Amino acid sequence: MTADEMADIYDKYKYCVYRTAFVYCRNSADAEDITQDVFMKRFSSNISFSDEVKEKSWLLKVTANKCKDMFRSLRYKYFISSVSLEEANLVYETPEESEVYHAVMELPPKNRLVIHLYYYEEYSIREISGILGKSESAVQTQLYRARKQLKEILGEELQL
Amino acid sequence: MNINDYKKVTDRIEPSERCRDEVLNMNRQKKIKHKMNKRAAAAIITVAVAACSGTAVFAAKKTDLFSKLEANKEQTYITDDGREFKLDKTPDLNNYEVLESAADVLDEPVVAESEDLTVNIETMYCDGRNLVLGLTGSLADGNYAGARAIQFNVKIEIEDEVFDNTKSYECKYNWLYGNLILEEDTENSFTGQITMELPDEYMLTKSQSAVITLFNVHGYGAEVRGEKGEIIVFGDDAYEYDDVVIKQRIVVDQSLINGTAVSQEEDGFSVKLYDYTPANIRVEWSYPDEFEESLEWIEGYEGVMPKYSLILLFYDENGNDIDFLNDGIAVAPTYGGSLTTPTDNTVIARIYNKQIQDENGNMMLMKEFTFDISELRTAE
Repeated sequence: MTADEMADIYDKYKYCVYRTAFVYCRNSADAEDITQDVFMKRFSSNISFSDEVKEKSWLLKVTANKCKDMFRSLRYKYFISSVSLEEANLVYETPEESEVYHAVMELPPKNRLVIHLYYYEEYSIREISGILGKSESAVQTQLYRARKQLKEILGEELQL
Repeated sequence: MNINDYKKVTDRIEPSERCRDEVLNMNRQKKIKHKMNKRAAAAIITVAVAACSGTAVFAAKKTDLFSKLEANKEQTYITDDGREFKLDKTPDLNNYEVLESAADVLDEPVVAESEDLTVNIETMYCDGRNLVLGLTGSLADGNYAGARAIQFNVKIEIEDEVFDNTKSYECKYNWLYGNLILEEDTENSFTGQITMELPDEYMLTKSQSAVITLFNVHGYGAEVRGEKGEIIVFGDDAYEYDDVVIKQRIVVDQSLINGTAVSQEEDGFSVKLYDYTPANIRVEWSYPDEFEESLEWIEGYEGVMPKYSLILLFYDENGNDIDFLNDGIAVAPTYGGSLTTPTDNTVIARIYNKQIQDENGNMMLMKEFTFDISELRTAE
């Protein structure tokens, strides 16, 4: 793969990979570590994709797995529940944006990942089950619980 | 409020230019890490092991390592405000009371060291599907930072296969982890283990050499709190140590696997225990077809709510949990996993419906089976 090809791939998918990692890790340092790992794996693999949809799904699958690996290992075993949301990189234009965003980021990691993939990346349940390696029913359950928790946190009806 | 508010904030989140440079230049920079010592190449010490003849390599040597490994599971760290955290975070599911009788104590421990850390392999258990290595260790600086636990990632290379616990998506192993924990009342004596469970297609069928790498090695000591009193780091900082590389011959004894099965079935529910080893017992279970209709529309709710969510749990005759290694809640038929081999012969399997709980939060019990596993045990 040439340097130009790598740059094209990175620039095309950097946002979806980084934002998915950030929603899981809640800080830019770990999200960037994961982003780098994902693209290095992409560049070193010999996979060719028939279309961009498949390539993006593959990248997000690797991202989700690397988030899960980080969650299982090392520091995260000690302080995952205590990692504060890194506010420095976040910009809110209205109080509602801040409230809703914080509510999502208060969810457990797996639930906020499902919310992100469903509402932000606009994947279907089936597609999310393929990315996360879970059954469709498990994804539906997580989505149901996440919606319920969001309504509890926000204290009012959230338009989904 | 609208979920679009989440989307708008997320749209503004971007990786840095430095991230781009590091990716495209293949120049990863570690972040948030401290180094105790100047980085140096890891030293490798190879131990020549006599040709394996099954059991002749190891002397019948005793060790107190297994009792220390059991004690590690219970070690906790208590914070200034009285909160308690376990040092063993992985967690270690081995039952060393049972494993001890089948593991081999190395006559000469295999020693490997880096500039920071010395690791000794003291014991080895391998039935082809499960590998458990008993470790001791010490830090070259005398544990200056006061580490209570040393965490690391593990890579095991056996012939052409590489088992790396940062690559679970490759699905080459069911379980791979390791750690070292400071023995109580010592300053620099660590004990720990590396444990691996393999699926059938990757089972080890013969004794062979392996290269074991401990990487991303970090020591953790006293905690650090944030402004709101939350724990930021378990340890003054995440001190990073050099990799340790160990060459070890893995001796496989497949006779430790007993293929006999015991199973029970009632009203369409079934639980089967099989492939007993001193490390764990395999489990399969199933439930009636009606429970596959696990999703249905609840009137008045715009969404899908599961009607059934079954979970299988195991207990001994005293009501104590027996660890069951699976991926959490199973909502699929014939879901399998591994049960930590219990010390006693009575195993109670209970299938619950998580969706239905009484006023005390107790799940609804759907079915219970009691097993006597004495006939499964191999000659340990």
